[in-house]
Amino acid sequence: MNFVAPDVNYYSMLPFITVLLTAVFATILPFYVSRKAIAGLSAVGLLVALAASIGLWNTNLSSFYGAYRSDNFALGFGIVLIVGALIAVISSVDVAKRGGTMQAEFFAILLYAVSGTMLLASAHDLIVLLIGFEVMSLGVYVLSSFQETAKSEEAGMKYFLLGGFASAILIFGIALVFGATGKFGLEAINTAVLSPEFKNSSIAAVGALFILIGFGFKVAMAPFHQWTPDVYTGAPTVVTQFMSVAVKAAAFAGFLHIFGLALQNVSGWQTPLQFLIALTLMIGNLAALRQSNLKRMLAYSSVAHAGYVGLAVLASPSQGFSSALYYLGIYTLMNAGAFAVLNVLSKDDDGLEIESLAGLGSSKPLLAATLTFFLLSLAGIPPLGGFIGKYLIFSAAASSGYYGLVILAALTSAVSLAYYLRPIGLMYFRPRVTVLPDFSGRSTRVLLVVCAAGVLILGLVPNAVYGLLELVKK
Amino acid sequence: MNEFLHVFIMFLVAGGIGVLALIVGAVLGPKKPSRTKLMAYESGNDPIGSARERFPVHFYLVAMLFIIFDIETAFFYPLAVSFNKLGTFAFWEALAFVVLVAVGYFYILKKGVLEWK
Repeated sequence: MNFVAPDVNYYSMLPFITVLLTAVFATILPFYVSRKAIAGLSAVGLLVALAASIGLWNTNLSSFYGAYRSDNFALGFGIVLIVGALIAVISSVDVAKRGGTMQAEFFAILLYAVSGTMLLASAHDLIVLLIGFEVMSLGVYVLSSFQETAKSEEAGMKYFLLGGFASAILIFGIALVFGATGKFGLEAINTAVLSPEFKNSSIAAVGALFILIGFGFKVAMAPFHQWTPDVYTGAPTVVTQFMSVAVKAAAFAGFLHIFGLALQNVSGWQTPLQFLIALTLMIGNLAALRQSNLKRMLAYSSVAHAGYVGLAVLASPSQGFSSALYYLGIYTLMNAGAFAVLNVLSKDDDGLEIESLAGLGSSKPLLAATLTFFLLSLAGIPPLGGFIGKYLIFSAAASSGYYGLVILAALTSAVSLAYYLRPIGLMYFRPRVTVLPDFSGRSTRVLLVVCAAGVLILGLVPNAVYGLLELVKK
Repeated sequence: MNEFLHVFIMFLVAGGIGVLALIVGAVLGPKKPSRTKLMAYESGNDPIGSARERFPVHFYLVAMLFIIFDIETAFFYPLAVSFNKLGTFAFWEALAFVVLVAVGYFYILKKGVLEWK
C-alpha cells in the first residue's frame, strides 16, 4: 500500500497556527522577559490572527479533506473568539495593580484555550471538533483555579469534575452517532441520515440527546447550568470574562455545526432542546433577579443569554447560523465589557456588591457610563447592539415556527430589565455610600470605550456587518 | 442487532466462567489463614506502614513528565517501523511533534521539577 500524504493546507489554518505559535512562545519566554512583555506578545499574536482571519474571508479554504474548514462561518466565529481573548488579555493588565497574582502562565494557557476554541469553530468532523472541545476545556479548567484562594480552587475542581463528566457524555453521544451512521464528517452524517437505507434513526436520536447534554453543559443551559454561578464567581474575574464570552461562543459554534448540519434531519432532539431553552430562560432570568453580587448576577445573566442563543440552534440553519454569530459577536463586546468594568472596580476576585455601585455616576463617570451601556445592551434596549441581536434571533426562531418560545423569551427578557436597570439606577440616582477602588489603566479605559462604541455601532448600522454574515451559510 | 447477540453471549460466558471460578474456589477451597497470607500483596516485598500516605506534589510533576515521554515513545515505534514508506512528510510532522514536546520539557526543566532538594 502506498502512502498518500494527508491533505494539509497550512494557509487555511493560518489564524489557528498563529495563536498556537504565540502560545508556545508565551510558554517559554516568561523565564526571560517580564509579564508585561508577554501580555504584549499575546496581544500582538491575537491581532495577527485577527488580520489573518479577515484576510482569509471568502476564500473558503479547507484542510484534512474538509475536516478543518475556514469558511466564513468559522472565520466569523474566529474573529469573535479572538476579540474575546484580546479583551481578556487587556483586562488582565490591571489585575497586577490591585495586587492580584496573575502568573505568567496565564497568557500561555489562555492562548492554548483560544486555539482550542478556534479549532472547535472550524471543525467539520466530530473527532476534530472533540479535540478542539477538549483543548479548550482543559485550558479553562486550569485558568479557573488560577487564584490561590479556596474559592478559586473549588471553582476549578468543580468545573473540572463536572466538565469531565459532560465530556464523557458528549463522547458517548458522538460514538452513538458514529455507530448509527458510520461517518464522522458533518455533511457525511447528514447524507447518511437522508439515504433511504438508513435504519438506525433511534440510535442516532439517542446520540443526539447525549451530544445535546454535553454541549448544554458547556454553554450553561438549565438544568446543566448548576456549575455556572459557582465557577463564574470563584474564578478570577478576567477568566470569568473569557469563559462567559469565548468559551460560550465556541461551544455554540460546535453546537450549531452538529445540530444545524449533521443532525438536522434526525428527529428527537428538537423537543428536549425546546424544554432546555424554556427552562434556561426562566431559571437564568429569575435567579439573576435575586443576586446581590454583581459577578454572580452576570453569571446568571450569561445563563439566560445561553437560552436566547439556543433559539438560533432550533431555527433553520440558513437564518440561525448568521443570527447566532451576530448575537455572540455583540454579546462578546457587551458582556466582556461589563466584566472589564467589574474587574477594575473590585479589590479582589470576589466580585462586587451591587449596592456598593451607588453614586458611581458622579464619582467615576467613564466607568459608570460604559457599564450603563453594556447593561442596557444586555437587556436589549434599542438602539444598542443587544436589541438587534435579540431581534435577529427571535425572528429566526419565529420564522421556523417556534412562536411559544419566542414569546417566552420576550417575556423573560422583559423580566431581565429589572436586574439590569437596578445597578444603573443605583449609579445615577443614589448618593455614594462606599468608596470603590478604581484600578483602570489607560489600556482598559480605551478598551471600554471601544467596546461601548462597538455595541452602539453594531446596533445602529446592523446591515454593515450582518449583510456580510447573510452569506455565511447556504 | 443480531450480530451483537454473539458478543453478548460471549460476555455472558466469559463473565460466567469468572464468577464460577470464584464461587467454586470459595466453597471447595481449604481456608487456613495465617499472618503472612493475610498481608497486603506488594509484589513480594513486605509492606511497610499504611498505603494511605501523602505524596509530595513533586511526585505528580515527575509522573506527568514521564507520561509525556511515554507517549512520545509510543508514537515513535510505529513511525520507525514504517519510516521508509512515509517519506519526508512524516519526518517533518514528527519533528514538529518533538519540538512541541521539547517546549513542554523546557518549561518543566526551567520550573525546577527535576531538581531534588
